[in-house]
Amino acid sequence: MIEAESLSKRYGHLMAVEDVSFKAERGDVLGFLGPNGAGKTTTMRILTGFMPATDGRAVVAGYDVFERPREVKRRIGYLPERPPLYKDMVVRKFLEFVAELKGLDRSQRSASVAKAIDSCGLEEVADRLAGHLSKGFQQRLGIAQAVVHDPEVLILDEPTIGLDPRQIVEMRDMIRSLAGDRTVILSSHILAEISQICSRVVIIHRGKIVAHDSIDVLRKSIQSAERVKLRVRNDDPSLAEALKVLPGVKSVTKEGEEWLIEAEPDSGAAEAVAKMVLDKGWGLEEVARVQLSLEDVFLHLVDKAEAGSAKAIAAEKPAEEGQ
Amino acid sequence: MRGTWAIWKREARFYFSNPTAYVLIAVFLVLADLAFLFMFNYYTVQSAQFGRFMSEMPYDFTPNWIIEVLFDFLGTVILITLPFVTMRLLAEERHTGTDELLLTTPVSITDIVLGKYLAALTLLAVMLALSIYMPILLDRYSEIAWKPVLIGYLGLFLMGAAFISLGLFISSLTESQVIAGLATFGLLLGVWLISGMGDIAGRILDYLTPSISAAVEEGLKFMSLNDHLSPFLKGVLDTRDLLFYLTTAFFGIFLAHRSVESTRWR
Repeated sequence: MIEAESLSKRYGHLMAVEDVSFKAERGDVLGFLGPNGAGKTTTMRILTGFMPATDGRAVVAGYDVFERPREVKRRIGYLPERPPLYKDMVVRKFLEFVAELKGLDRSQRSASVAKAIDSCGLEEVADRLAGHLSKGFQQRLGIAQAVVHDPEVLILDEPTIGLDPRQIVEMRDMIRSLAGDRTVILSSHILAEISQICSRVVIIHRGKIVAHDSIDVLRKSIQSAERVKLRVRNDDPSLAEALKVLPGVKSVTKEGEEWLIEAEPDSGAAEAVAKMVLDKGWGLEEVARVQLSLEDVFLHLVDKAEAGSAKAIAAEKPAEEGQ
Repeated sequence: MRGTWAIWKREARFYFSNPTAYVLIAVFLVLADLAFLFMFNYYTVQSAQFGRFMSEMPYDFTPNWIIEVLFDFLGTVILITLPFVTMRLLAEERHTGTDELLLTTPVSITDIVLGKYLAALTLLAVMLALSIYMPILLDRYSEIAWKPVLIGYLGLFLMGAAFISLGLFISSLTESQVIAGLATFGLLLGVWLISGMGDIAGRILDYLTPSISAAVEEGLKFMSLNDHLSPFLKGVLDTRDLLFYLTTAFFGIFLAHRSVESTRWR
């Protein structure tokens, strides 16, 4: 459905995207993860045909983006980072306008618009001006304009940015329900969000892909240790020593009020720790597994990528000297 | 074509769904009315005073003279008002990010540029059409020749068409409506004044190199957008003037197209 082959985009001297390749099949929800400025938006803009790549090739919905942009544009729905709304237009009229631009016949238009309004929960605001909507509804309208022509491919750039927590949950549910057998690409800089919606993830940093895999595989490959956070009421000095002898526990350190226990993966350390605290009567307040944050996953992958390129350089050097 | 139609519809609806069009039309008609009353009054006083000596007036002093002077003034009003119509055309799309929507739908850049151009042209046509009651009024109480009036309207419309295309191009260069409006106004005024500069350049060159003075003067006057209007107002339909406005309009639209296209590569 979507195939990017060594895409590159250069702005003057700046390489915004460099040699980016990935694939997404029908039914995939692919997450684009990376910090701001990593090249997510640029990659998406290339895929939608908004801007041409400096180098490389992209095939979307069966057509080459550079050679047959019209065919591609007919089959994709795109939500840019800023929802592109005409503030002077009524919601329903705006969607009809987009449907017309997307090439729907007059006879299909009103049914498609009604469906988009329904699936994006816009019934109560359908006759209001787009400019008068709250941020949450504007974002929904942005999604509605992307799906109004029932596209095969949906490209969403930071769909949850600027929303409040409740709206974020609603937006996630909406994206999940819209995914169906479409191919969806969405970008975010929040790992939790990607891991809840996406089946696969592409991690991008400084314009380059540092990882491309399913989210579980990525997490497992990185998770070399299980980490448990512990908080107790009666801070006993013997606690650290006692916990250290538990099976699988590698280290126990104190960080402020909390104890941080590192253990072998899948050793059941959390359970053992909790049991011991209860047995000894230290007053258990909190015990939790520490999830890897975006920073951890990300730093790990970036470190690995940079170490890899350093190694490659080191390996090249002796060969040159030998000649 | 279908894309052009869709864009045109949206733009035209925009003009008439908020005060923009109404304010512009009101300003245009009020100024036109004032000029009309002034010329009408001047004409009646003059004809009452000179009476039977009318045939000895230095120019063709018929009721059509009122229309000719009035239309000349309307040309200036158009020059002042059209930058307010064209300034938002493409600049606003870029400012609000809706260009990203348009350029990721299967409409071509030609559709976008033409749709916007035709919408502004429609507004101009409405403005001009609403002023028709002035010649009609004149015709009720006296008699006017309609051919020069209609050719005059055609001239104003074509000149406006050229103005709009230049404004459209400038609007494609910036995100700021204010800059687009001011720059358009400056450009139109500049091209307007070239005619006067032709006079001055001609007179100076008469002293220096008389051999080319006439050519320079003619050349500068030819580039002036308003010098091509006066034949129309006199009821003369000259292919040169017609082609001048049409090519200018085409040139502006072409530049706007290239400019939108090039923003994608930046």
